[in-house]
Amino acid sequence: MEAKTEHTETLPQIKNLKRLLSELKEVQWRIEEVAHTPGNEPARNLFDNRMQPAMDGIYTMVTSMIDLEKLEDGEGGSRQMLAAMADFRGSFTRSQATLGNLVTSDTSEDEVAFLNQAGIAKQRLKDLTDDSDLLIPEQKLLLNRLKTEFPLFVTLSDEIIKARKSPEWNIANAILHNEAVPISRQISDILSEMASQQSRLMVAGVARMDKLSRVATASSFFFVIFMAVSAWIVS
Amino acid sequence: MGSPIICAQGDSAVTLGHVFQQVDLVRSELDLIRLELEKSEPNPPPPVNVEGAEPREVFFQALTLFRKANQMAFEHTREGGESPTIPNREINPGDVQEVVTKALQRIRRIKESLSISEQAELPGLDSSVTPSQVFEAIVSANRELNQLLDRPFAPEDVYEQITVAIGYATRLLDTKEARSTPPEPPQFERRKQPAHVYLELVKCFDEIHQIGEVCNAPMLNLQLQNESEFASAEPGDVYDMASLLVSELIYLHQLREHPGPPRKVYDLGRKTPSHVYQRVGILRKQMTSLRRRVDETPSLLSDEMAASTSSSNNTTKNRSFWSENLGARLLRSHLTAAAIGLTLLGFVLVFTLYVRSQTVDLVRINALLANASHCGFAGAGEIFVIPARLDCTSRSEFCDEQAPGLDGAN
Repeated sequence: MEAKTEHTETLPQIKNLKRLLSELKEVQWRIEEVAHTPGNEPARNLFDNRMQPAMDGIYTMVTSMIDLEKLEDGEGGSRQMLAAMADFRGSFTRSQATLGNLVTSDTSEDEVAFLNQAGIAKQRLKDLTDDSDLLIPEQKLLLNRLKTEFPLFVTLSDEIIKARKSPEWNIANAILHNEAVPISRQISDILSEMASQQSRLMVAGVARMDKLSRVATASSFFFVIFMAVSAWIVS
Repeated sequence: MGSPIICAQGDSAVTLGHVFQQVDLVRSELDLIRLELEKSEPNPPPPVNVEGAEPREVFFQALTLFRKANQMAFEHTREGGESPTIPNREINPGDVQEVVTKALQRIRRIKESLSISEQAELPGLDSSVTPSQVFEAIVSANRELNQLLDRPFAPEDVYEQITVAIGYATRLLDTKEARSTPPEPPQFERRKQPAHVYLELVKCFDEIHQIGEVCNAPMLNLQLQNESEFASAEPGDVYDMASLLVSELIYLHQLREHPGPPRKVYDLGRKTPSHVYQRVGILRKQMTSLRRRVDETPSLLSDEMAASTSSSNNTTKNRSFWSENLGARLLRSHLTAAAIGLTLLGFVLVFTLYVRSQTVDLVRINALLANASHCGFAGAGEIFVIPARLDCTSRSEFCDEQAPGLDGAN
């Protein structure tokens, strides 16, 4: 009866343990699956695979505009426009580098610096748009493409900063901390509880054994006497 | 621009005829874009016969159409569109219509960016159209759209979609007692083509179809016409097939009473068809396991794994002896020993009493014989052992004494 009670106490714990271990195994599989993939760091993935190609495109376009302006410069091109273009390219390039640092380190200084540089780049683009009458048709075409691409730069940079600031910026680490660690803690707790329970049972078992040995000694003594009495009666 | 049929979400008044009409419109618009981009007509899709399609299967093909249209719109306009949500109920033609309309809007945005002024005519309404025809029309539109993309759907997209399918299959294989983990992938085989992956996916679909039959869940009937013509399969076609598999797995997943959420899928990096082939191997193993389990318990997906519970109980019974503690086992063994001891003692006692009664009889017989010997039957008493405990000390004494019950003999 006692053994049955102990068994019913342990059974749910073992079932729970089995379920938690299976969950831990699955979580481990997920960590291994994502750990060494580009998707493990969504911010870096966005930066490398979406932002960099877009930024390279913008850089090429503004460089082409500057080159065209340089050619025009010899024939009376505007220094003001050239300066605006160079300024745009400079602030844009710096913002790109700062964003790269931000993805790696996530410091507030980098974020502030990036927002400043991106703000300057946006202002210079607006200046160029305002003075677009001074541009030659090829430059206007490039400027239009630049204006189409630039919102993507803004949208993507917002997404990158958001992804980097997210607690899940490193997916494998996030799964490890948010899922694997709590599960393993639960497992440890159950195991400790079971160990202490078994230890209590062990102590109780020893006490019971002690009683039983006393009973056995007493019964042996009784049997010896009984046998002696029986022998005497028989003889 | 022509005005598309816009309907409310899940509009029950929308028929498959309306959806087919809208898909036709999409295809006409895609033709205009294709001509503008000076691209050739796509090859015909792999020869597959489709029968018995349900609106949910058409819905997932429409979702693929939207994804491709959205990607193309992004490539041209740098604007992203919000993905339609999957309704958590039975899907009707209105839901499909909504997704196709969203795809059409994205396609029209591309037209706008390309300054295409021509407008496609809305075709006439055909009310006799079947879901399978709509399904095939969307598959063709998907293929046309894939060809127009700057970055057509690649093996990594298929890989991702198959990983989604594995996520759902994993949840389907969960039991009440334990969560399942995807099995080990098969060995990596080099130089696989999209066609190989396509055929593997068709085999997976066969398994799902059979699972659906056992579970009484109707599913689309897919038949290959000629395997040799599958060499033309492109990653985009494989993606469509993977989407179809996902749609069926989501359907089976929804049949479960308390399904666990499938895990999220992240960008798993650049992949080749060989990697995709290996990943499909995992899915096939899962499908085989699921089918085996469904064959054993047809109500598996709705009855919360009754079979696994009973088998687990059996295991528990077998294990019960070992899980009892030492004290209980010692108590049991002591009690058993005591019972055996008492029984033996009882036997000894009974035997002793029996022997004693027999001895008394022997004494009486001996006394009788001795008496007889004394009266002339010499030597007769020598054949009996005279017990040690006698009330007389010598034969003469014994003979003089009248043994009880011998009165009559004298």
